Amino acid sequence: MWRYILKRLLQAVICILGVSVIVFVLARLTGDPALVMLGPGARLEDILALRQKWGLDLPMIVQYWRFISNAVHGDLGLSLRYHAPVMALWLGRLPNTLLLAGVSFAIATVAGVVGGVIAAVKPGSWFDRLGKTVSFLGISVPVFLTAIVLIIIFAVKLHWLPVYGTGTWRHLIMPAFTLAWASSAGQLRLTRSAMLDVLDAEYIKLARVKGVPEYKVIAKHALKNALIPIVTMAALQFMVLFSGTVIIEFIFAWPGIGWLAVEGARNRDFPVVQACALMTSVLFIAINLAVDMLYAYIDPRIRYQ
Amino acid sequence: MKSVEQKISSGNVLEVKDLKTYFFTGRGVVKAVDGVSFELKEGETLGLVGESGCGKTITCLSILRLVPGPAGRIVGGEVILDGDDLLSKSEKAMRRIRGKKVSMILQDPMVSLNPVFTIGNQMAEPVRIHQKLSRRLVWEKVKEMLRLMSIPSPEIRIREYPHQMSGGMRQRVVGGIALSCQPRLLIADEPTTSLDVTIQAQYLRLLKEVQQKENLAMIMVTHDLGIVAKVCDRVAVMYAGKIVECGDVREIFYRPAHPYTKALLGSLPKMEERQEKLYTIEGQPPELHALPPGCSFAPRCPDVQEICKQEYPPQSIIKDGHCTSCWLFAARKA
Repeated sequence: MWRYILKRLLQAVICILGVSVIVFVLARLTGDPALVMLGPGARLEDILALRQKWGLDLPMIVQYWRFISNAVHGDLGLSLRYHAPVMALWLGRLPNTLLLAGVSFAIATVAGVVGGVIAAVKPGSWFDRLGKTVSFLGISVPVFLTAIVLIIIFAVKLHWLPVYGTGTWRHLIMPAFTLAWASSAGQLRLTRSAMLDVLDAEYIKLARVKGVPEYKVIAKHALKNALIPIVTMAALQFMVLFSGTVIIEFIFAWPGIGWLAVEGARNRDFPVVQACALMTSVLFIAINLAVDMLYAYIDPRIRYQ
Repeated sequence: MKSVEQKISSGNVLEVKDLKTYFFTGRGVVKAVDGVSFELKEGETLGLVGESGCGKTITCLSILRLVPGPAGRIVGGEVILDGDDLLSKSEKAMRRIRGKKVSMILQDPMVSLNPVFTIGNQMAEPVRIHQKLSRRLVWEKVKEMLRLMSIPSPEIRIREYPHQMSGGMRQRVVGGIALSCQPRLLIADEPTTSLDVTIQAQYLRLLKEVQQKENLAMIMVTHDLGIVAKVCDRVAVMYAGKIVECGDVREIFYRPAHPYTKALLGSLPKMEERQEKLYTIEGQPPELHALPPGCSFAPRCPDVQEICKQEYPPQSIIKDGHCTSCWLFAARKA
């Protein structure tokens, strides 16, 4: 077990290093930062001075070393636009994103898993057909359309909810629901098919032969076996929600990190883009690590490999 | 013509009467079990034999009322356990019977244990459900069952997972689960099919020992006539959802009546004779959703007569306890 954890940890560290190289190189491929910062009419000595000030005249390998050793200390540089530490900007936006992603993730996972289990227990029932329709729409309707329709109905016509912004739980309802619907759809379909597979297994028959009550056959014997794909899907959904909510953040004027990254890219604020990409990757790797640990907890066959 | 109805003597643990389990599919009604009757006394072992797909397993699952739905349904008959009709019981009442009064050992031990729970957890489950015991006593019981099934060092084994055990060991665990609540009836559905031959013999000996110790009634489902000869007292031969012949093991082996039984026995390799080719039964078992009107075996039967193709033969008693459904015998009596 410990060997498994240690191995995964080591792999995670290597992965983060690899990502940092890619992020570093990509940020520099967008052009000379000094030229970008000073604009087309800049004088040569200003450009050279700026290059020297930022260490951009040093060899790439030295620059990378500075970047990575600062990053380890939590310093990801200064924003060119806000002249503030990028890390502080990112951390300032993080709670908003976590709140939105967290709430929609919780709704999506609970609805998806519970709905998927019920659909699998009674395939072909009215609930199964309803679930199929709702999840089909959830997958196919783009989130911006859902968001706009919701705004028109609940904010503009009915005045029940605020159109945009943050602050109260009422602000959270529409963006969270929009995201949750889209991401619960996949979870529902996957849970349904994983459960259908498992419910056919001989050990389910044996559980029934033993006289185990049906709810326990489903919730204990079947669900734990179906959990591997469900957890995988949930982790993927969380990562998508965490990083891919830019459109929703824009529509509802929700100041999250997706928005920060897009702003950074539009303003050619390369330290911001670099930091957002790196931090999101670190988060992805951390979630993957957690999922690997969860696998081992769920399935003893993985634990004892 | 002799009365077909056998007198039901008291002391029967199980009486199955005219059991019918059909599957309602898109291609038609599949009569998987079509009027099966038999009874079983305490300590007796009944062998249920026949080709794959002849309805043996569905017969057993029908006794437990675990026919896979929604397509499969028990449409008629009675299953009487200790004088109680199981088919009229509520689902809740059935759950109290499953694993307690009637247990079943499933075919493949490699897949019949849940991979994500420990052996101990899975063995303790029926004990916990059916017997009100304290935690400590439940674990004592689990260890006792492991010992009964000759599994060494039960203290270690209860913490292990199925994948850490061999096939033979797993099947013993499944046996332990089945026997943990002192059932009245044990159904063993081809318990040794997926074990290798030496382990097979060991397992059967163990099962037989436990059966004698506990005076269990047992149904042994198998297509291996060698196993039947070794462990069964009586045999019921099934073909296309019906029992075509039923009798004592010696009767069936030495004086088989039904052409299908004869053919089954004929297809066994013999030790004492040198055989170039094994005997095979011509043709295929019939499609259960499109059975011929008369005897289902008629298209493959070497002794087929005109009437066989028109009407299903009544049951004829050949000797006390030995009966068959075949026109050869019905005609003789008529």
